Order: sequence, then C-alpha cells, then structure tokens
Amino acid sequence: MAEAAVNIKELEKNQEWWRVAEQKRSKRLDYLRKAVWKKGAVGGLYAPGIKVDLERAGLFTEGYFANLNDPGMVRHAKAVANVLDNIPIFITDQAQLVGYVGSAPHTISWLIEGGSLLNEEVYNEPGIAPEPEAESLKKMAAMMDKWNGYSVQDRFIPYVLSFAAEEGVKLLSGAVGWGLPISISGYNGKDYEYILTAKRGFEDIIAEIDRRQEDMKDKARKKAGPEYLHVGSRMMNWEGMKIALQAVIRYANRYARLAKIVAENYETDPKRREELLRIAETCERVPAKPQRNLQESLQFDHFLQVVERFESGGGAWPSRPDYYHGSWYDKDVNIDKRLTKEEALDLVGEFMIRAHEVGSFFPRWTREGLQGITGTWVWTLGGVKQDGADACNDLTVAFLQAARLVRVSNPTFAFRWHPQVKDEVMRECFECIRQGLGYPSMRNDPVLITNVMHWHGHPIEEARTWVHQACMSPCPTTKHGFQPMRMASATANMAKVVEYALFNGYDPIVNMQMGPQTGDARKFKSFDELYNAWAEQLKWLMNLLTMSVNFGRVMSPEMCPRSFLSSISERCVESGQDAASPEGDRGNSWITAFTWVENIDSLAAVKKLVFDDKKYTMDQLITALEANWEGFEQMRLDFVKNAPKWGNDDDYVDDIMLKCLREAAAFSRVIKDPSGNNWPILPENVSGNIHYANIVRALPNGRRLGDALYDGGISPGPGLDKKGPTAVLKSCGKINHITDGRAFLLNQRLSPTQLSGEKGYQLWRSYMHTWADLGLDHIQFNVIDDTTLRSAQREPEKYQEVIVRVAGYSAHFVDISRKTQDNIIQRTVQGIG
Amino acid sequence: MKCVECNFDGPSDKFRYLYNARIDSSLTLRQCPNCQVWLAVDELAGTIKQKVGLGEAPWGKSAGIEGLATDNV
Amino acid sequence: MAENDKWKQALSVSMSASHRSSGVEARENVPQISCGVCKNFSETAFSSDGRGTCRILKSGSDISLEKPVYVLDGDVSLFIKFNTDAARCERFERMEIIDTDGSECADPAYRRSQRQMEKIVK
Repeated sequence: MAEAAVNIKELEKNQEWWRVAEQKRSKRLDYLRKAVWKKGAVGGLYAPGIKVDLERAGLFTEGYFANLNDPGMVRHAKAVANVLDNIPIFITDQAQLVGYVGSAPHTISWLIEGGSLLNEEVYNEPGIAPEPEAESLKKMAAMMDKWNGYSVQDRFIPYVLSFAAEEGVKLLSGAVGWGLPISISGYNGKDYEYILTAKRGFEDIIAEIDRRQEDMKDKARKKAGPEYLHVGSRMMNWEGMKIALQAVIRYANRYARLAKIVAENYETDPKRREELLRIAETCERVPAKPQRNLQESLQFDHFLQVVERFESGGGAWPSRPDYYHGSWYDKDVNIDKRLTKEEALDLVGEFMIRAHEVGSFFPRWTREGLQGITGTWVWTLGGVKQDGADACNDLTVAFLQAARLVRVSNPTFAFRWHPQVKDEVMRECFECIRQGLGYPSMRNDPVLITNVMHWHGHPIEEARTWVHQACMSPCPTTKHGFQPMRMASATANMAKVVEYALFNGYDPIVNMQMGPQTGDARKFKSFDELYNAWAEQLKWLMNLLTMSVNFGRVMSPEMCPRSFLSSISERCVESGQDAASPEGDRGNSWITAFTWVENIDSLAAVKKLVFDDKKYTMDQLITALEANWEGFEQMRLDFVKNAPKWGNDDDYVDDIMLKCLREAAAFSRVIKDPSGNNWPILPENVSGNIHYANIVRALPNGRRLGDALYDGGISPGPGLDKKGPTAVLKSCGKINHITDGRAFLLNQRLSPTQLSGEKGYQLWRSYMHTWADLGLDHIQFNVIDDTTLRSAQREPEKYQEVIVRVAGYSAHFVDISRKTQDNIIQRTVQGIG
Repeated sequence: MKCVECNFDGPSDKFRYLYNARIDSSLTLRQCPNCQVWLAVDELAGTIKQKVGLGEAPWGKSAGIEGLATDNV
Repeated sequence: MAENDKWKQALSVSMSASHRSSGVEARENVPQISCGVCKNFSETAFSSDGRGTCRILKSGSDISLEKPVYVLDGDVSLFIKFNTDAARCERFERMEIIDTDGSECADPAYRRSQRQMEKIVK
C-alpha cells in the first residue's frame, strides 16, 4: 500500500493522470474501462475492429416490411419491437448495468431506414463490413435495395422537389450546413420530469394510455364534430406507444433472464452470482415499475437512452444525472447505508462507461466534426432546483470524482455554476479541469436561465430545469419545455457568409451560385457596402437552414414516427400525438453558428486596411484572395498582423462583433420555428473548423484555403489573442449573453504548471469570478502543455489516454486528425493571475 | 521550390498546400507531389525549410508555456 | 432548361432512388478513368456516399454520350459520382496525389476515401 501511495504521488507530480486513475480506481472500474471498444472515429475513420451492426438493420427491416400496411406509428413500433425482442444481448464481466445499442460490444448501429445517402456511405466505408466482407456487402446491398424508395430521405424527396429543389441541392452540397432535416438523426431531449422522477414506470404509462384511449373513444362516438376528427390517428399513435413500451419491458426482462441463467448455471464466484441476481432483479423491476434505489435509477435511465438509440440516431445525450439520481444516492449511501461510497462510485463510473461504449455509424461530416467521439454527450451537473435553491448534492461530487477515475472522452460534463455553489464542489470541478479532462465546461446558470426565458418564453421554474440539448444549448426537461428533437441541419458554416459577400455568392468548391448575388466586391466603395452584402448573405443562410428544419420537423410524424420517444413524453401520452409534433412545444430552436469569428476578423481587416487606411484596394484584395494569397504573402501578413483582431479588448473589432451578432439576433426574431418561436444563433464549432478547412476559401483574416478555421464560438483566432486572458474575457464580456444569441462558446488554454497546487486553484477561482462578473455564459479549458502534445503525436501508442478539449466536447488526442491536433497546439496558453 | 527529400523541382503551387503552422507566420505545410512527404515552407522566401514528420514543429511552440500570454503583454 | 428545372434535375440525380446503383456489382464498379480520379472532381463534404460536383462542367452537360455535351455556364454544377465513367470527357485530368486514407479531414480536391477507390488507385 505504501509503495502504491508513493507511486501515485510521483505520478501526480508528473501529471500522468491516466496512470493515476489506473492506480486509484477499483479493479472493477479498471476492467470495465479497459474492456470498452473505441467507437469514435479516429479523424474520419473508424478504428480497426469496429464493425457496423447488421443485426439491428436486418431486424428493423424485417419488422418494417412485415407490417408495411400498418399506420406509421404502429409500423414503426413493431419494427422497433422486432429489434428489441430478437437482437443478441450480452452482459459484460463485472458489469452491474446492462444494455447496449448493438448485437456485440464492437459493433456500431446502423439506422438503415433513415437516409439512402447514409446507407451508400456505410457500404462504401473501408473496414467496417463484418467478416467475411464479401458476404456482408451482399447482405447490405440487398437490404439497401429493399429500402430504396422507402427510406425517410427517399420519401422526402418529392416534397422537396415540389417547392425547394434549389435549397435542397445547396443544403446537400455540404458547403454551408450540416445534417439532414429529418428527425431520425436529431438530438433528442426528454421529458425527464415525467419519466425519471420515480412517479411512474412503463406499466403505469400503458395503463394511462388505456384510459386515454377509452376516454377518447367514448367521446368521439357520442358526438360528431370537428374536435374528434383526429381520433383515428391518435388511437393508432397510442397503440404504437404501447407496443413500444411493452417491447422495452420485454427487452429488460431478457436481460433479467440472461443474468439469472448465468448466475444459476455458470457463475462460480458467489459474489458475482449475487451481483447477477441483483441485475436480474433490477431488470425485472425497471423500467416496468418505478425505481427504488440508485442501481435501479441508473439502469432505468440507461434503458431509456439505449432504446431511444434503437429508434433514432441520438446524436446528443441531454441529461442531468446528479439531479435525477441524486436522491437515490442519498438514500442508499447516506440514509439506508446499503452502499458504501466506493460501491456507489463504481456504479457511477460504470454508468459513464456504459454511455461511452454506445456508438452508431455516422456520416462523414459528423465523424469529422466530432472526431474521436460518438456524439455530443454533454451531461449537465449542478445548477439550481425549480425553487432556485442549490441543486448540487453528493452525487454531483461523485460524478466529478468518477470522471477522473474512468477518464472517458464521452460523456463529458458541463457544470451549471451559480453563486451558491459550495467551494467543495468548485474544487471538484477544478480538479477535473486541472487533470486535463477538458471538462466540465463551466456555464453561468443565472445568465442562461434568463436567456432561456428571453428567447423562448419558458416560465422561470421550467427554465431552471435546463440541460444541455447538445454541446451548449440550454433546454428544459418539462412537459412543454423539452425539445423532443433538434435537427442538426440548422448548423451553419458561417465563414461562408463573408466569403459569399466578397465573391458575389459564388462558390468555386461546389461550382455553384450558392448565396444571393450581392454585387462585385471589387467595386465596393465603402465598408457599409460590404457590410450590407454580408448581412444579406447571413439572412439567406439563416433562412435556408431553418426553412429546411421547420419543414422536416413538421413532416416528421408522417415520415419517421417516434413511438418510443412519444411514449415517455407526457404531452404525447396525454394527447396521442407524435413527439415530433410542435404542438405544445415551446420551440427551443437555435442555429449553431460554426466558424463565426472569421467574419468579424475579416470584416475588421477590410475596414481597417482598405477603407480606413486605404493601404489596399478591394480589387487588390479580391485578386489576392482568388490566388489563395499565393504570391501575396507580405500583404497576407499585413492583414493578419496590422488589422485588429477579436479577443484583445479592442473596440474597433469588438464593435463589429456586436453589430454582426445583433444583425443575426434581429433576424432570428423574423424567422420562426414550427412553434412560432425564435431562431437565435449559437456560435460554437465542435471540430467543424477542421472539417470545413478545405471548403472555405481564403479570407481577409489571413487564412488560406486549407487552413484550420478558428476553434470556434467566440474564441479568438489561435495565437491572435495577444493581450492576455483578461482582454479575452473583456472582449467577450461586451456581448450581451442573454439577448445577443443562444450561447457563446469560449475555449481557453491554461498552463498546467501554473494551475498546480492550492495556488493554482485560487488563481483559477479568481479568474472564474471575473468570468462570472462579466456575464459570460460559457468557458472551457485545456490544461496541457505543448511538449506532451508533441510527444503524443510522435509516439501515439504511449499517449493513448491524453484527453483534450476540442470545442464543445473532449476527445482523446490520438483520435483526432493531425490538423486538429496542430490547431489545438496553436491555441494561446494564457497565464492567469 | 525544390523538395528536400526527392529533389522534385517546381513552382510553389505545384506543391499541395496543406495548412499553416500559425496564421501569423509565413511557415506553412505543403506536400511534395512526387514523393508526397510533408514539407515546411517559408512562404515569404519561397523556400522549403525541412521535411516534417509526426510531432515535429519547425515553428516552435504555441504562444504559451515558455512565454505565457499574460495581462502584462 | 430553366434554372429551376436544373436545380430539380440536380436534386434528382444526386438523391433520388431511380438514380442510385443497386446490387453489389454496380456498387463495386469503378472505371479506370472515372470522375473520382480526376482533378476536377470535388467530393461533397457532406458524406462519402460517392456524390460530387465537377469544378468545370455545369448542369446540362452529359459526358456519357459518344459526343459529350459540355455546358460551362449556369448557376448549377454538374452532379457526378466518384465512379462515373469519365473516359469520354475531354476535361478529365488525372490526379497526382490522391488521399484514400480517410483519417484526415474533408479535402474535396484530394480525398477519395471510398473503399472501392482503393482498387484503382493502388
């Protein structure tokens, strides 16, 4: 023991945090963590050994086509049920929690019913067809051919052709936006207040639906009238929900049976036998009935998440685990003492690992934009309760401690900071950041609660329940507050706005007239002319993306019903509507604004060097940009070094930032989402800055086609924030984080040496005070030095577990592309204090 | 420009542009069309500095660590 | 053809089921001279399903004909696929560098990461 203690101290001193974790965690956690397959793409490729799961695709196909004539929701539910009833299941050694979205631990799921483009991509992708490859390809091709004309995407096409072919082509060009506007690939929020508060299990919901059906049947038959015209579709939707709920209960019971069979027939270790029997008991109990303890509560939640991913892509994982499971931790650990803290920590750590292992096949843009991970699974911790009191509890601390033991890159945490948060909890947050996890990101709770109320009209009690819908956007977890899906296609490659303003809307990468023709920029005589062209391009892009999402959302109940998600949402159980129906939903929409700051630095550079100083003409500038700055290096350096840059507390450029944000904010109140609510922008990036590097041409901020774009949100350009950390915060503090947009991502790199020890904590604490005082809504940190990162590039096998904060998420450094790695190293390391 | 690895000689635009070392410096990464190695290029001088392998950074460090960007800068 | 019809055609060609390959053989077939190994092919950044656009030709062009039609003007580009036969296209220019490794990120000009491309690139 003494030797181990010395060893840990040494490792801590050397900041070898992965090895510290190995020493500190239990044997069970160590085994479970190492038993997980890496599902996130390495750069844009899946890791060797990862195979696409043909079982789920085959079973869904079989269930769907066997019930082709059933109403949409019923057909969908039966297809999902066929998967849940028949997909092979397994229990990992030493696991206490069960459920996986696939037939084997190395598989990633394939939602074959969604996009035919995606299916072709699955087929084309090297290395992922199960062995023997030729046989799998044949099987895959046969299934894909069967879906031709039936996939959600195929059924959308006639509608798009009828009114928006031009917009459809532009969206799918991949130049200006992400995603498909179909709900099967969205980010699903959940009505946790309904389903995870132990007030009901699935059997209770089935009984509730029975009552609703009887009631509507009676009323509709007694009196003819317009109020019950929807009776048929509602009855069928309810039927579909019940089919889904019953299938999930059976699915859980399959695990119960498996655990029991293994315990009673194969397991020789009495302790493990006992654990398996507990798994059996747990899966017999939940989700059929409400949970009674921490293990049941976590298992209930995990089943919700797994089954949701059997019916949709689930690109995000909105969650608030300390809030919804905290009372069970308290009961088991503090009150009943049926679990020790260490045993509880094992469960919490495993809960993270079970989420970490989930993955589905992503299209290339998602793989490249989310390198190293399987989705934006940003779990929310901390915050306040609905009455405004501090919501932090012992489980908040346990999650932060478990994160340091299991060190997964997904899920990550975002912490809702508010003035009542205790020092003890802040220290746990800091320890995670200091140990290089890159998370939790810190969110300003009072600012974001007000923001949620401002943009979408949530009452304060509802607003206070907010979780991260994806990386950044706050969304409540209540009947009317939750957003059942957010389609990723409201994601803009914003650097194209200034590019199109400079090039009259023409895009040479895709050889198309993309944006409106706003005039030949060589002839612009004033900054206002350029700005007006910019504003027109901005509005065109915002409208293009949101129009497609609005349309997709409204068509979703018909195109891709969501029987399971509907069945766990109060407003759907009550009304019989599909979860995608915007009725009763406050909206909560946002436009993710990738590559935003390039606009600001580019506009400022043109204003300064062309229109104010008259050092260059617009004609010279456009010529240099068309040449990708080739042969204009001195001029390029002038545009980088001698024009003001965002993030240096310089009003010249900061005022342009405010003007641009306010232009977007004003227009986001003009365009409306399906609920009639606003479409504010949310500047952030994930690794879209790398994905788009070869798609955005040279710009006046000094970038060339190919250069990584800035790392996102309102983060200054890497290496361009030369005036220090306070100047960065002051620039960002000029933005109104309530009315200027939905949220604003800020990346900062800090020095690990500087943050060591108590002094390091006090420095960070004081920095966070400034951050809070300035009213910023977000900040996240990389605390790792260049030497380590360069060494990891050289000898990746030795640095498999080094984690970095990419943008709205963390990833293992070795899983991101070389360009992304270099981009992180380029970021300025700020010295605080 | 002449490739330091295979001596392929050609104008700079024949070398595939990859990305910059830092936006505020003239160093970039390009790829030789002949031997396909990555090269560090001084764009101002129009010369190839060296071959670049994994973990090599001819442009030195980020703006931090040895010289933290502080409020006093 | 009216511009609106060109957009419709582009959407149909790139998306609709009737323009999609079926079976293994058609999906595996990549001609030695195909758009995928041409400098002017720009793979869509959206996915690796094989769609792309020509950097030179516009909608209305047809390179499958014995006497190909080349349209150079218009708002809409010509949609093609990585395995479109380019033997008759006089604009075909073979690439010098081809990335078949998809571990780096989207570079429409150089990256051809479909499994089928490995056969003709190597």
